[in-house]
Amino acid sequence: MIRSRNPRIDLDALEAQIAEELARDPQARSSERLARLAAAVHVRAIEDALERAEERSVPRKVWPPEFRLFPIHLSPRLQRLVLRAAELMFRDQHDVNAHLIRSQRETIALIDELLERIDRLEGELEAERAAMRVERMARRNAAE
Amino acid sequence: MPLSEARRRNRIALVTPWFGPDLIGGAERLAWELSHALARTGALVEVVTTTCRSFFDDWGANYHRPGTAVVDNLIVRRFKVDSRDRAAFGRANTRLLSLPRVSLRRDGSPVSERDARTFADENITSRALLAFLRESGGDYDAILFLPYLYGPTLAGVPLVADRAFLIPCLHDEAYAYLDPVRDVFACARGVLLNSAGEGEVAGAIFGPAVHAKSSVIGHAVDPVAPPRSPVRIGALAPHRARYVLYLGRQDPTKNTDFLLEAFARFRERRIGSSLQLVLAGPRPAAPEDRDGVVALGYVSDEIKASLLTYARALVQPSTNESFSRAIYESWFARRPVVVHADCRATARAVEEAEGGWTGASIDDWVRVFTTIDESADDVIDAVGRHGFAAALENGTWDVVAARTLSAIARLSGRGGRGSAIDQLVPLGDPAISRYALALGETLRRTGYDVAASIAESPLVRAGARTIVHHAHGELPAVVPDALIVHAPEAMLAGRLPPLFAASVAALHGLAERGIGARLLPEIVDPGAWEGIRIERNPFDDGRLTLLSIAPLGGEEAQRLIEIFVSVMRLMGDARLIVERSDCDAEALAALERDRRDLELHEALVLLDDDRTSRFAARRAATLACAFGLPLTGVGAAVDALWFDLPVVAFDDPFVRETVEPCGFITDSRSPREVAVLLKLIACDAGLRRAAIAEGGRIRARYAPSTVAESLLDAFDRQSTAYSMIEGIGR
Repeated sequence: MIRSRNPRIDLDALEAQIAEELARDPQARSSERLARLAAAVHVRAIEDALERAEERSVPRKVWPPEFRLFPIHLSPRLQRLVLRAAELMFRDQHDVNAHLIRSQRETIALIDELLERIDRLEGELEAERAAMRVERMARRNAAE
Repeated sequence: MPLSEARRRNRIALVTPWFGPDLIGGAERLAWELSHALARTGALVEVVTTTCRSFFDDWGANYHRPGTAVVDNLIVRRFKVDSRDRAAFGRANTRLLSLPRVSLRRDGSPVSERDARTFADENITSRALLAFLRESGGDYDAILFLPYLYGPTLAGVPLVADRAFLIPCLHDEAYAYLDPVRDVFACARGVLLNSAGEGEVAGAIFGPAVHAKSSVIGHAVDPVAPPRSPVRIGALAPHRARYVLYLGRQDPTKNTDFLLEAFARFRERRIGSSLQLVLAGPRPAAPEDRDGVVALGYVSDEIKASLLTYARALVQPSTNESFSRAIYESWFARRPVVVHADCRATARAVEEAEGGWTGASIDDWVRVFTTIDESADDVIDAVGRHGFAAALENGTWDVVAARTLSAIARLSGRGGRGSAIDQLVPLGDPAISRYALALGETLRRTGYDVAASIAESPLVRAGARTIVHHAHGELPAVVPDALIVHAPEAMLAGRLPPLFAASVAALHGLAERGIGARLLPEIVDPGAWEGIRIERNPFDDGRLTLLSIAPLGGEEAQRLIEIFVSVMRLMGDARLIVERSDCDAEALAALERDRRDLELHEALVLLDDDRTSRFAARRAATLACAFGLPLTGVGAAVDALWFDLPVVAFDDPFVRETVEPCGFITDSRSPREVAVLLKLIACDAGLRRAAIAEGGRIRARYAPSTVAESLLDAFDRQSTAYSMIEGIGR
């Protein structure tokens, strides 16, 4: 029996969760491995940064309203002209940015795959070790 | 301390980078209001600031004239700012802002030493201001610095550390993890907080020692007057609409993206709902149209009042707040609030007031929106009324000023003004001696002249208050001012002075005999961990880490290992830390053998008895567990609570007192069942939060300040009672 006088803790729910966990395959490994989670969060942060970079990497099609440069901000035609010129001028840079972003994405996908493989291998290794420990412990307890 | 005394004594300086009546921003408003409120108490208040105009201006540009001026009742001293390398600061700042959360470690700087130094040195700085503090800092009784992350604070606090009080306005953000910021928190005399939740954030980042020098002074909010008549805002008529309200800057740093996503999810699931989300506050660009979202941008005070009055609830999704003014404005309007559970400052305020709901995930928020949508008006109003009560309790700026003066007096050791207190301790009881020693030390730090003598041959000074510690046998002949009972069966007779019980067991024992007493538990001082800094915590690697806090014999060590092996089997990877000083020879031999036989070389750590390693282990631990012999006192469990650790334990009297109210007591079930419990507590964020939040409340009972205040409060009441009796006699 678990006891707690913490009003925020539902003991019945906790006991039910314990029973549910115990009913599962004892060899099944929890997916909530902290190290893997930390890596996943990190990868997500990189993906977010890439997304932000991608949003800003395309040439502008609309004149920024806060950029009030006389007389350009008064004339939509002039604005289009300047934006077009900027687009042409930075075309190579846009291309480079796009390739860099794509290569980063590829790298992340590769890292993700490698993390999964490491996870799987670690899991197998740990399962073997755990079984070995339990076996040794049982053997020792029997001997004692 | 009475305010009249404060008037005679206090000369206070308030150091802040920008100061003026029109400045916006939480810290700037706080500096303005608090300085005026302190001046109203009669204290001599000087504001030490720079000539820079505001946060939004160039920090290297002088706008105001340097020199001294009198503004209202304040002396305002302005000093020229230094020129600075904006580009270098910008680079360091960008690096900090772009750090992912996973790189913010509790110990160690998140950026290179060079970047941290650049951030501090190229911040807003004023050599003239620092020279003034160096030369004249000693003239002030207290120097308040706010907020924590700008040059005058980072460079100023170390110059006047013995009288420096930090009002940090702290958020859980990358800046807070910088070494110069850690230095400032370590050396300041005291830390004055806007909210209890801000204290939790400070404890999590800087360690438990910060709790020992912290005091919550609060932050006042003026109520927003309700509108005289209903107003319309474009197509929105607040008095007819059903909406939740967001008040504040609309940008990603305030987590509004999270709010919009949660609300969109809610609308997807409840297509027929008429509940809208109204966003009011400055925004960078016109937002895209979203279903059920009314984006208003900046609104006048009148419209804000109208929106607050008729909202079903106010929503505050930000995770970076030390205090939220909008929450209290909503509560003053008797409206409940919804806050993000990951922001301890706002979440704790809401949980304590029961004035709203908290949620950590999108799904949690969708559930809360559904509750708000489906609940009857009476239910919503009832929650709002709880908030209203909390807003009233929060007090005015004058109350905040009074709390500030009282905290300064206490933390400066001027609380007792040298009054004498004598403790009489029975001979030959080490537990009582330890208790009395800690109590004496705390009272001494508060400003009392404390002495101790043996109860069997008491030495009591003339005019001194007397505390008698009593467990067994006869009471000493001395008439005490307070009697502290250490054993449930202690013999008591005659007219009793204010009576205290040193433990819950003693309290229950007295209650069973019909004797009323107050709990005055043994002090467990988080300040004992002061001065420890670790550059890199070897245990902080994301592994589930169990810290054993109970004494272990051979059999208990064996059982602990069995539980741990089951945990490893469930989790794949884990660590168990056991302190050698907790183990007898048999336990040590069993642990060493199992580490070797079961190949637990890295997983089982046997810790030597050095302070830094013990600190590192507690900082990195996921859970504390007491699966050994019964605890020998409250210290081990309360210490774990000071480190924000959920505690799981086998039953014993000290566990019942300290762990049961907040953590988990388990019977000695199979190792696998205990392991599953440990896994659930480690992995279930809600369960952990619940245990840690209640743990925060329980540990406060054992804080030096709580124990001292409880005792001194009894003395004060007794003095008042005596003076009343004397008055009647005359």
